Amino acid sequence: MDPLEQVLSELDAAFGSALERQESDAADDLALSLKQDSDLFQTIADGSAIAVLIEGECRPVGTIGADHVVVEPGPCLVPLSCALMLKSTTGQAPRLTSITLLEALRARARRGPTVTCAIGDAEVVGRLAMCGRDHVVVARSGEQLIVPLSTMLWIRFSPEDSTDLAYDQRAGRGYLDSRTRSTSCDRFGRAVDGVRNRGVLNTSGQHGSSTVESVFSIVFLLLLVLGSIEISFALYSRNVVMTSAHEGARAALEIGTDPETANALATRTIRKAAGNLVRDLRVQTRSELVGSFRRVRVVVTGRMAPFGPVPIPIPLSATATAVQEIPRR
Amino acid sequence: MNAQRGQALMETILLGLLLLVPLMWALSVLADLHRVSLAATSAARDASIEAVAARDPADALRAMDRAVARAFESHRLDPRLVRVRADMSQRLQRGSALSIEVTFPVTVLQAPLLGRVAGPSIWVEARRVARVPLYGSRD
Repeated sequence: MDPLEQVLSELDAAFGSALERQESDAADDLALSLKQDSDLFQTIADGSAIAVLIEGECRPVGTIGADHVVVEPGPCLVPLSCALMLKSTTGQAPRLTSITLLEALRARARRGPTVTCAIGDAEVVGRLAMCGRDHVVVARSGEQLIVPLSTMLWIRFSPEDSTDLAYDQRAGRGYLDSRTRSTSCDRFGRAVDGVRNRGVLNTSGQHGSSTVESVFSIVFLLLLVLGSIEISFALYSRNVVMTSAHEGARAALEIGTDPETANALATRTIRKAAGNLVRDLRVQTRSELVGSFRRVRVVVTGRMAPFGPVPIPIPLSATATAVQEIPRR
Repeated sequence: MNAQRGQALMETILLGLLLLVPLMWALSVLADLHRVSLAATSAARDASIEAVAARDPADALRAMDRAVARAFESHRLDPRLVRVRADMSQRLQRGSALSIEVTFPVTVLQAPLLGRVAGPSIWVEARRVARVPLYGSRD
């Protein structure tokens, strides 16, 4: 080989290997950058088995929440910020859930379970009374211990307080979450519990139904009352028209000397008796002689003024007859 | 709770109907009482007017029955149920008083379409005292 060609070949090989090295380094940098962009949840939720170091022992993680892990058996809830975790490729991968530590604690706090809470080197045992936005209250022999969530290393429940139960309730929306339950102030606790016990907030889809039903009920009762008033008024008007017709017939019989006078008398009497109760009042009077008797027949028609829920004028009519024996001369 | 939706409305309607039936019944009975009261008053007055102008007690009784019947018929009431009692102890002497009592039963139990049903009745009574004219002609 020509010496010149040999030098060129060596330079070409060196350049190629340098280029490959640089490409490999760049790929490694890119992979590392991508890995470094992930958060803790993504790091531990990649399907690997996870264990947590608690009280000097490595315990397997059964469930990974949004900001905590649940160690079984226990169950023991460990905030991710305080958990020292061991990742291995062997073992069962934990379940994943979007439940936060706050939601998990609140789901249990409603039952007031007995808990062991670790803060630093101390452990507190008591009943979980409530779970605030950033703290829990543990009741113990008449006193309440307030534990900030930021300093809590882990919190362990009794074995009968199953983790699955709480998480299944969460999936079924069986309890009130943080959006509808006010836990920010302790003084509202009793009010919130009162509302919750009455089931007011637990009736999704019924908001305003009582108002609508009340409106319908009021309208119905109003129609009932006004209808009753209108019916009674119509009955009263009918009675008055009948009586006024009889009065008119009697007046026409007593002092109506001729048919025109009798008709005018009857009309005037009926108008005075009925007053403004009846509209479009029409009076027809017929006077006739039947044997030794004089008979006056009055027919009254009109209509009751409409009012109330039924805006229909109610027709009224009455017929009255008065008979008097003609004195013999 | 979802199964209870609309329950209050249904309860109100049912209770309203339960209230409506006795309310309508009470209205009809009260209207009947009012009508009978008006009819009895008119009948007593008409009967007294006819009676004091009669020639004799028998004629007065006939005139009273006729007037009472006309008054109750004008009020669309059955004149066969009416009771008329007249005190003619002074036999229609001029200036004497004539007392007439008209009573009519209002049946409390009434059905909307059947009308009167057997049962207790409220007796409505109207009384009229008239004086026989001193100088009126009886011929």
